[in-house]
Amino acid sequence: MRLPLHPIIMPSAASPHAAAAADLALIAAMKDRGRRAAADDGWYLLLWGTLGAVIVVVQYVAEVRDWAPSVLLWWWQPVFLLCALLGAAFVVTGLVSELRWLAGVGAGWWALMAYFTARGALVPMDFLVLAAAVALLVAAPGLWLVRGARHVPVVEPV
Amino acid sequence: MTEPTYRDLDQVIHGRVRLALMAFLSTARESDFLELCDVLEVTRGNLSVQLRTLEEAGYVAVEKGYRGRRPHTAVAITPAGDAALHRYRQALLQLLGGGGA
Repeated sequence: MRLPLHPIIMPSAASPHAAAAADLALIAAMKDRGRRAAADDGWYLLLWGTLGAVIVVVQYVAEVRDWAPSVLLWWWQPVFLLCALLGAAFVVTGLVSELRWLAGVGAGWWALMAYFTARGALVPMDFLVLAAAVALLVAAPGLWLVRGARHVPVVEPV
Repeated sequence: MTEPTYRDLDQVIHGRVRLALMAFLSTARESDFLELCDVLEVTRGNLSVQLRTLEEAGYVAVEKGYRGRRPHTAVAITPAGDAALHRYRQALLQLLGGGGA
């Protein structure tokens, strides 16, 4: 896509409205380009979210089939800290990138943090809860970002 | 209070390339020199000049370093830059809504 910088519309006494409208259109177009660039991160979220969910499911299977030492579940006890950090990361990213819905994803992680805090000790089934959360709150937002990046409307200046 | 005119706009952002750069960074948050050259379709020399102007105003932060063995220049918008772009956009809307200068 060519950047809609041209033709350069200089403000003039005769057309201040046209110049202001052109500037606003340029701002809108470039914000869209910026969002599209930020959406490249969606691929990372999609990849790591899918991988993370699979790894956690494998740990669940290992736990219930007794493939792994029971210490595995103990290692995951502070999982609420991970949820808190991921929530903060999504909220901050959503606010600064103007992708407000990402803040909602962050709220989802914080809700999960509250859930795990309320649970106290984890049980094997919590691996499945975590796997679902990673799929829904990491991989799915990544997929949404990637899909969204393909449908960003290109706003041309007036 | 008098209506804003085009001459009241922040002259640092008012340049077309600088305005495009600030708007891009407002959502991308950070970028690098080569990507910005590509996105803005400007020469390296031109971009250097524009970035220096924005950096001196405190609107962007430029960090020069290396990625592997290659020089890498990271550019990010600052909170002051965010605020300036917001004010600029509001002023434009006022210009349009207020019947112009």
